[in-house]
Amino acid sequence: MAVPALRSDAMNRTTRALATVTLLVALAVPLACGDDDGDVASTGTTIPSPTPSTTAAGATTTAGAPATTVRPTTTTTTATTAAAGNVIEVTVADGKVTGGGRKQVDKGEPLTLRVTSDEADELHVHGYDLAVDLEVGEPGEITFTPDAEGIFEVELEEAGLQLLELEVK
Amino acid sequence: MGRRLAAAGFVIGATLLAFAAPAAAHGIGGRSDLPLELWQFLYAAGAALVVSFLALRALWPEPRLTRASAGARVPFAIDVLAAVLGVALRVLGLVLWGVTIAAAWFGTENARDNFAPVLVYVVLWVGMQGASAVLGDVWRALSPFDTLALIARWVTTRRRPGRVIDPEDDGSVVWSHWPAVAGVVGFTWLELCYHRPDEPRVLAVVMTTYSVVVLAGAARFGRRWLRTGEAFAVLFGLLALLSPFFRDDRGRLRVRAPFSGLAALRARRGTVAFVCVLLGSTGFDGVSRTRWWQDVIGTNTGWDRTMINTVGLVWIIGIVTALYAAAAMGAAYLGGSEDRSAAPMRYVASLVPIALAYAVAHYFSLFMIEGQSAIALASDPFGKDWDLFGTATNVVDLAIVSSYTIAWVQVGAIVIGHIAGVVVAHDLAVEDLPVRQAVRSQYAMLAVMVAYTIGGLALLLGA
Repeated sequence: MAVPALRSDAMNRTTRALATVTLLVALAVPLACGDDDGDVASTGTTIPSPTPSTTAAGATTTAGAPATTVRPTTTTTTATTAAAGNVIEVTVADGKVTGGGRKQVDKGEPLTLRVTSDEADELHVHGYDLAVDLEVGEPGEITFTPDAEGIFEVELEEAGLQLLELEVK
Repeated sequence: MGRRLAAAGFVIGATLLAFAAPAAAHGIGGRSDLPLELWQFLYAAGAALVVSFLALRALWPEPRLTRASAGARVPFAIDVLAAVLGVALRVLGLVLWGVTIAAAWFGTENARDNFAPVLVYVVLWVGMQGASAVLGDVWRALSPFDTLALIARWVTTRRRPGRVIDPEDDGSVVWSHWPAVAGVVGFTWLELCYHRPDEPRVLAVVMTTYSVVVLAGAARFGRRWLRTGEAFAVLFGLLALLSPFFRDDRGRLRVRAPFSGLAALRARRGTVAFVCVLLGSTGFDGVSRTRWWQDVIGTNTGWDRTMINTVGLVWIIGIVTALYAAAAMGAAYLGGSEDRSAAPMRYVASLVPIALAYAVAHYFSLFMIEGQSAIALASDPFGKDWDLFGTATNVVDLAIVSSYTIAWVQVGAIVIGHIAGVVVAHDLAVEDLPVRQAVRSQYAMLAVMVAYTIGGLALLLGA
């Protein structure tokens, strides 16, 4: 229990701890990035991460063309954000959702959700708490300006079916 | 040695990280937080690791928490004031309980316009966890069950004096924490697995059933049973150990160092399971927000969705429990202790701050944002366009806390919870063992805490 011995042991330990942290940081970076790639691939919506896809005003994300579900790994790139008047279109048939997934939208940019369902239901944007009744086969629209950050569920209220998630940044 | 354990912890964290990727779901709301930035994750994980290694050498060689947990008395006037406040809280608790059950049964069926869901999932479950950790065991006064039991006792003793005798706390299953474990499993299942957790009529049935069962327990085993058998009392009681305020055996209000109350935790049978369910359910809440889990659920709705989530909840609770049990027994082994099976109970206090940290990290924004709708709904609990307090038109400000603040609260909570857990485990170890052995015994506990912390952060990274 000699004090000097403890000291040097502690020093040694600190050095080792620091080495471990450095190692972990080195390991974690590629791992985390790899995670994103794998995730995108698994949902079948592969787009190279930093590519801006929809830029034109009034750009429409049509059903079945999954161009908007990429999470960029870098912080500044808004990979999938469209300009003002962005429209997200979703179709529901036989309980299957086309055009869903995670959508990144810019805070403060007007946004229209257009949903067509083969069953009458209520379209509900959680958090913002916006709702509209859907008639069979008739597209229902909600237009609003998302002004609070976060991830928001959009679902068919009666069926309890999640259509998409809005990631507002 | 340390590096190998850290590596093991890292592998577990990395496994969770591999699953981590975005989405949303819990009892109420439908808004969830933006993912942490990678650099925030790395800073926090790095801080947790450094603290853990430093803790092995830098922490005190003598136990300190037990002595600190005795605390000091507060001025008499404040004690009296707190007692008066306690009576007011009893009235408030009873009124809220009555209004909430009535709203659930008779209010609008639209969950968003009914007071019951927000009161149960936000004010009670989340708000009271925070309040207990800061203010102490306020549930002791707020609990409508305890107040009803008190009234029942008063009525019966007046009619037939001297007839009420509480059975002894004989350490049997009834007096263990197992009944409370059943309660907390039921609650977290309803919140995180059941497909319609916010349906007012569902809540009505659940609240009524729970109240009847708990009151029957109190009638059979006495009022004291509400302290060990009622899930919310156990939960809030455990978290209150983190608070600086408490009442001693003679009912006097005292203050002590925050967290030191954990040294006074008396583990019963079932306490370990209770805390592990708590940690595991919050962990599953994180997992269920990942895109990976959303893919697993797919387009399943209704009971199919419930079943898949149930499997997920059981699975995560299992992982958390197995990791903890292995760590505690590992600590006993490394510390040269004979009785390894007692170790999980011995160290359970070290998990309590981590449970709070997870809850804060996951539910802080929910409380701040959804909690606001409680203000409006208090004026119109049944959704019938009343305006009792003039707050019915209060609009929820979704931007009340910025994403930036939320992210730092999350990271801060998890790192502080980790440090507190490490310190408490260390203090318990030096209480039992000579310092060298105690430090050695802590390798196992540290490894699992690092795993919990990195796993918890990874879920936030992928949220």
